[in-house]
Amino acid sequence: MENILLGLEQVADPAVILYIGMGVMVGVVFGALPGLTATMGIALMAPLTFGMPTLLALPFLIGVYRGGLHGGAITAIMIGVPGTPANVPTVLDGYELAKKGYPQSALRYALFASVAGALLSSVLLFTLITPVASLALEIGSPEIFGILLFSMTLVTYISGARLSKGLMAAALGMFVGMIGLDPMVGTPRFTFGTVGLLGGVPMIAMFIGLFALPELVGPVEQRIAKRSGRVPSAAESARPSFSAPDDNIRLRDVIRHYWRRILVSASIGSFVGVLPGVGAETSPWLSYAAAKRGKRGKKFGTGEPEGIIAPEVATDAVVGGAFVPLLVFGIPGDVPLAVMLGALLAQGVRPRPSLIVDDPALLFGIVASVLVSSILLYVIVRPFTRFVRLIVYIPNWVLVPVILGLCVAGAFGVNNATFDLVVMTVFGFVGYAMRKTGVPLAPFVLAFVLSARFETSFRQSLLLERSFLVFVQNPFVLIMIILSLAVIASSVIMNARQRTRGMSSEETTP
Amino acid sequence: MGRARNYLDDRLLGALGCLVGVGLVRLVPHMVLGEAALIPGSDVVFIRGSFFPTAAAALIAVTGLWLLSSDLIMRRLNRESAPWPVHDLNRAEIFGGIGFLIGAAAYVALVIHVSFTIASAVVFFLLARWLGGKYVWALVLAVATAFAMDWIFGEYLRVPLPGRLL
Repeated sequence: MENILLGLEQVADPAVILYIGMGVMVGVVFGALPGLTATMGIALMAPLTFGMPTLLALPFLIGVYRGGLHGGAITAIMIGVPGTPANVPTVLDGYELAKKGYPQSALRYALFASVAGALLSSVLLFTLITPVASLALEIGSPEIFGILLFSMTLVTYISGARLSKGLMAAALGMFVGMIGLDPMVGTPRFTFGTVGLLGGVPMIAMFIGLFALPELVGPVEQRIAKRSGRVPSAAESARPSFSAPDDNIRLRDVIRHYWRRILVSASIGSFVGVLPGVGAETSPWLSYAAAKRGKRGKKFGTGEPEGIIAPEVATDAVVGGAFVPLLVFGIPGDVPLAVMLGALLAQGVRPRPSLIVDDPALLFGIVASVLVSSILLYVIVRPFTRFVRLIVYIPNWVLVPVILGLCVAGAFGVNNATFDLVVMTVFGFVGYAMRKTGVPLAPFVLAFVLSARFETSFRQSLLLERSFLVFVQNPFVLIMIILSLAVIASSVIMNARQRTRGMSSEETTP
Repeated sequence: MGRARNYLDDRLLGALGCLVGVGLVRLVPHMVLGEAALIPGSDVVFIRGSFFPTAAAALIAVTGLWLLSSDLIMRRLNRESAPWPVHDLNRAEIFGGIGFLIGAAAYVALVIHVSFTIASAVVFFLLARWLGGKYVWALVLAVATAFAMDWIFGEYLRVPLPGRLL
């Protein structure tokens, strides 16, 4: 209780609430625009926060994340194109309901679901963070290695249908993560004599290059397709509708009719969020599948509100759960949080178990910001539902130059170094090549972020015990190793079955 | 903005992965400088600085080989090697995409060697026109955005962009 009050005290400042609100608005815009994602929003906004105090910068980025997750539902509903990969299930019923003439109702169901999921998982975050952090204080390098090994193998689950490509992406990410100084003895590795690489590959510039630049290629390809007479995409051919009726759907009605579904979906989302590496793209599908088995399941795909509520609750519920491993172990639950980790490190905040002892005000301030962002999502978006849907119609000739300028200014702004611009450009090509070859980005990013700690914990464990048996004699580590092998084995079997059946599956890269 | 989902042949990707992985493995001893035993003065040398980069590079090569061989085997068995189309590439779009990225690289070079504001105004205008914006509106957008970013980053965020004008 003391910790909750400490956290709320940090965010009680009107300036903090203002910054969270601004973050939510920016996030909604990024999430709502087709082709832009919450990840891009965080990557582009992070450099802007480096001059801010920590307890303004981080709440702002949390607001961007929160807004971005909900914003993706707007495009999913209005034009049938998911704004972020996590909003794919929302298209199935959200777009159908919009086509029936109730886009505003669909948007309200999505908003209320997002808020409900966000609030429930924030409460869970407040509840879990203290016991998990206290437990984490008792563990050492071997246990941290075990947790990170399990996290890295969970990467195989987010590879999509091609396990080999996912592992290749993870290996490449791990390699890139090792560029810089050896963490144990400080000697340079793959720095090519460049001062700019001594601290490792600049993370934010790399993320901007990987996520933002290749997305800007989309309108270029659309333009070429249009000129060559090919069929335009749904985003291009959509036209705004101003005649949608207002059904006056209220939050209390949604909670009254769907409280069971909300609780189940929030539990799914929070649990998935706690698992490192699994992320926001998996939970909405799990929740949608669970809801489809319910009594309203037969109506799914026809504009059934529960088909919108289930995935949206789960998507937002991931955030609370995902912050637990992020703040305690520095393990991001998904790709946007990997970028957020970069922002945390740039602010001088190193997530670690002892943060609860060293700086509880900061830790619980961040936790309270997650809660407040949930409330502000409702307060800000609810009055503007009718207008928020118009974001999706901003033309490409406005968006692309502005986003490109933000990419360059943002990448430069991190370290005031032109070298970062070079890194951003190089990884722009890398990100484009990965998309075109179907190599997923998520394993690359997660492996990159975890590689340094993975290596350090492994080598520290060996230093402490002077033997490889340290990983086998420790029961916790042994269990983690067995679980990791089980994850790999089941991924291999699932992939082999899919290939044998010749199933077609869509592989999206975040 | 939509996403194109066109995948190159897995054989090419696998072969590229093998080459990159093997190349990196060969490069590691030259690029990991000044290796030292973790316990100075001791003969017992645990995992050195080159171990993990070598392991990662080897994994890239192994996964490349896996991709290459599975593709060849599936073709030999006369089946589609992937459940989605691998030859659905539009050459014009690929060249357009690469051209855009080369243009972005040129823009970055101009920002570094000339000025962010001037380079941005020119590039934004050309890009907005090419993407279908009307002349006047593209000009307004380009100039306003370039100067606004220069001012916001310089005055408000305290990050003076290269060749700052305001």
